[in-house]
Amino acid sequence: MKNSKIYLFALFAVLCSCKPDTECRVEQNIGMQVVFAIDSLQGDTMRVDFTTVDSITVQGVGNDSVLYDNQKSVSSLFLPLRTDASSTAYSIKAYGKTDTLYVNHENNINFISLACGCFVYHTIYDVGGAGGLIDSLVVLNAAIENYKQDNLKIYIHL
Amino acid sequence: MKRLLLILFVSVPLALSAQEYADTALFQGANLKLDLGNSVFEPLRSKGDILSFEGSLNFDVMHRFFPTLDLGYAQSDLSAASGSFRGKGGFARIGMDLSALKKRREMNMLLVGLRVGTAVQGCSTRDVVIGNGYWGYSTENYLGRVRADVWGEVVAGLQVQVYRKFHMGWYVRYKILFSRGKNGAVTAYYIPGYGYKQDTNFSFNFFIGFKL
Repeated sequence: MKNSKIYLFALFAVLCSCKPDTECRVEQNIGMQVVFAIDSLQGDTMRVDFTTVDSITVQGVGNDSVLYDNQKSVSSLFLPLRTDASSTAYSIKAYGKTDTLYVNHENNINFISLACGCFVYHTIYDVGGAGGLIDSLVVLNAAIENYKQDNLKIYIHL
Repeated sequence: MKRLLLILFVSVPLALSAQEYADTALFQGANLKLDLGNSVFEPLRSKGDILSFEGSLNFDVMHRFFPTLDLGYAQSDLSAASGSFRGKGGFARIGMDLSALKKRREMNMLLVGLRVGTAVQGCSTRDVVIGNGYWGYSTENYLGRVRADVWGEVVAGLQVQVYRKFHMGWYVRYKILFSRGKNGAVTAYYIPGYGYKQDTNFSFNFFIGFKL
């Protein structure tokens, strides 16, 4: 009799455990991962170094919040893109220069679950800079989803 | 798993002796079963957010094979961290049970079987959050959608005669969802007859039956 109660309780526990998560348990941060390379002319040859930026300030254009506020030794940036527009711009200050990074992108809404909501994945189709800091830009991976990978490389000319 | 089910469904009937079949009429009547367990258990477990009702009709073939049709209705009104879901619709399962006891009695049986289930429901998913913490959030609604799902089940159950033509018993169901949807598709949070949308599910039925 005692054993049968235990079995009944175990069965009830198994059945009760069939409810799914109501909290999202997958990576929810989606953004563009940016790395840096510094090119400098040494004699007649151009030298390119992957590097950290000594000090950097990044702010989304049209947003009052600062993403990176005079942050030191930054080797990569994580920049969330707009989900309500197909173009996102950031103001970047480093080495005493200011530049604006433009990213044109496609937004793809993906329903994940009722717990997670919709994730907006992006596809970069164009990038550009307007200022004195950015020398050139290379798109490493155009797809921006909820896993970490380098998406954009910024060449900074000193 | 597929191989195990194949062995189960092929080997059990073959194991029966030819003599057993020879002295048994092919059609032995039909049974009507009304589910009591799930109808009570689902509202209790979900605190009234889910209602589910079902019944089944099976045909007794030589007291050994039971082709079965289950019909039911369910409705749900659920919420999670990033939205809410409301749906209602009907479901049907078709399949067959085998009486696994070697000694065949009128209504006392250990049953194992397979089902294919399908559900069609009208559903709405509301207030689904979109966006990020930096640029802000918005919400999206997916209203008035019709969603069909298909799944398979392995069932095991027990039934005993309680009074003349009445019997009662239970089923445990292990369910595998076939219609999982493409990545990014807006799928149902709850599927009538299947349960919460997960790759696999368990459920439990307690039924009372009547031999027609």
